[in-house]
Amino acid sequence: MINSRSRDRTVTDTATDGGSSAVPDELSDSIGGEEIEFYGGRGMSAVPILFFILWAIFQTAFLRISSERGLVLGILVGLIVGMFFVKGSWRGYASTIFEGMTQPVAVTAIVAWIWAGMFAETLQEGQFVGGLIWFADVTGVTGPLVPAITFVLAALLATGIGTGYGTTIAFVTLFFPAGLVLGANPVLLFGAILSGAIFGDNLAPVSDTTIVSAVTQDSDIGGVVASRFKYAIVAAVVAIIGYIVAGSVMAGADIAADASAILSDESNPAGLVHLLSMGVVIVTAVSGRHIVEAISWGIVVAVVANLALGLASAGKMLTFLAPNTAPGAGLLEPFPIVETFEPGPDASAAVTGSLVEGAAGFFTLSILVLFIIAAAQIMIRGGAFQAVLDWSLDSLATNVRNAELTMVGSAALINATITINTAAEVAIGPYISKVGERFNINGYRRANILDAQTSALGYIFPWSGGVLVGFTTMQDLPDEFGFFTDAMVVNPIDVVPFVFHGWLLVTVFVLAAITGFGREYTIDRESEEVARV
Amino acid sequence: MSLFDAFRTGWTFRTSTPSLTVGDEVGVFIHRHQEHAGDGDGAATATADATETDAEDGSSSQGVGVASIGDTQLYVDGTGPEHVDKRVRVRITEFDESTATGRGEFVAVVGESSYAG
Repeated sequence: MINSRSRDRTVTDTATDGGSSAVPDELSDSIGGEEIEFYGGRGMSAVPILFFILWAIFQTAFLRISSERGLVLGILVGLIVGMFFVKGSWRGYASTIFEGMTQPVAVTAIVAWIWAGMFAETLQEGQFVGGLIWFADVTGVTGPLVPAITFVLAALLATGIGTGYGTTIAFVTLFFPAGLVLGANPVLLFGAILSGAIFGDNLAPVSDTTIVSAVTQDSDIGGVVASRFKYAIVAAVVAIIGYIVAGSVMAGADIAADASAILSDESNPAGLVHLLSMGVVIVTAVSGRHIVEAISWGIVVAVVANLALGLASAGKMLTFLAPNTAPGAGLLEPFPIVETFEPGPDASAAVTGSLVEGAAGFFTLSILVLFIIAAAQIMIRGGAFQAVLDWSLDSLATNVRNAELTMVGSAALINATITINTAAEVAIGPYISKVGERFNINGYRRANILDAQTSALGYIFPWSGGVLVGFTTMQDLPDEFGFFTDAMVVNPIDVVPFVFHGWLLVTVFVLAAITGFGREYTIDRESEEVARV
Repeated sequence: MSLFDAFRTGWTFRTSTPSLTVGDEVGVFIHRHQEHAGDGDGAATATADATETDAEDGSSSQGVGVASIGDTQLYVDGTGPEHVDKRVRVRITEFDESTATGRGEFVAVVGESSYAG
């Protein structure tokens, strides 16, 4: 049945499982809604999603290719392969793909991502990193405290821009070499950067994983952020202590260079104004406003701050790059957001700037999530999902404590396996939802369990996307800094134990499942307002 | 809920067998329909009102819906198989703390499972 969820309605009638009665006959064929039979039993309906998972492991773990476009092909081929196992007409299978792609969960995530992308890119263009660099420089922190302060600042940046990968790149490029000069241990410092990325990926309302965790568990994003703060801060406090202790016992690199010289070019105190942009989004979202409204306010504040303080020109945020032969080129060229060029083989017209690039950054992921949801719907219609669920509830999730441990374990397993953690989160989302609903665990708690494992496990292992991004960026450092030798490049396997916040976040949730810390049922509080999302 | 309350909520250790208060209305997911409600589990026969409602819906007149709130079991009169995986509002009529088992009356359907199968 198509999941037309109007959560606040009060209905006393009862739609039957077929459910398509509410849909005109002429449309029902295009939205699926029927069970699909597979050769080999209902388990074969998992072929598309299993094929995708194997493809993702092959591509990202074995070949180290973190390409979302490659994953799109993986899920497409999986959907085609699955079709060959369908009994009878393939029409229902094809229709179910459309049914899955039109699920509200997919569309909601895509809309929120695109808004978040515009915001994040505008913050980065507005020298938010420069503000944090300035802060780090003036504090004068050296030696044992460097990893701890790096973790805090990386966490701040990641919470503002919502992208752990972006945070990792920015910090490895600038803070990592400076931190080594200040006497930090390279492995510990890299672990602190990854930990900060995890913190923001987990907590930021504009983080792609936060958005997916909320919408797959039928929860508003602001409420999810507020409810997960307690887990994140507990893990973060212990992680800070861990970095201070480890920083004082692990020897740093002995380098004769000036850290301030490395950082000064990028330092800009005015960039800290984006703490305000970030705060506007968090406060507005947690106050119960629609996430699109919350991020839109953040974008407005960021754009105004960039222009008013000269952090980024209008053209950096939006530029129409047009050939000078265009009809309006001469008239519009004086405007700061219009540039013209002489037509030639190497020049092409384009619309660029942080707002465009930020939105476009999520286009491929948006297509990917549509097809993953479609494959999940095939699994639901074919019965494999129910089979896995039944087995889990009979064998693993036999009581609420075991159910939460099962949710933690399953989310951790798939995220430890698939490099691109957002894709893994989308794939496991329906399972987490069903197991949680079985025990009336509310949407916030389910979203928090899901996203903690997603964020943490995406930045720990050598094949994790976050680690790969950092490692790749680090390999360019010997060319940029004379003191930076190849020996200072951190081997990804070495950093695994030092991603303290990641390990602690997983530990917090294992303990929370066992002790009931933070547990909320639907009778305690329901997700604030799902229709709004 | 104020901004402060939003961050403050949930800093507790919640039991796996939450209590229910007679007279309260709660929203829960029904995960199972149990036929022949009088057999086992302490569930009683469906009420006359529920039977009439069922007859109008053309649904089963026997049995109760079962919801697990943590490890607390709530038997919901007036529901049929069609309410499985639906979020329903239930008025609590009985609750036994010692066995963490309660009964309630179906009030209305208020939502669906996140992923309808």
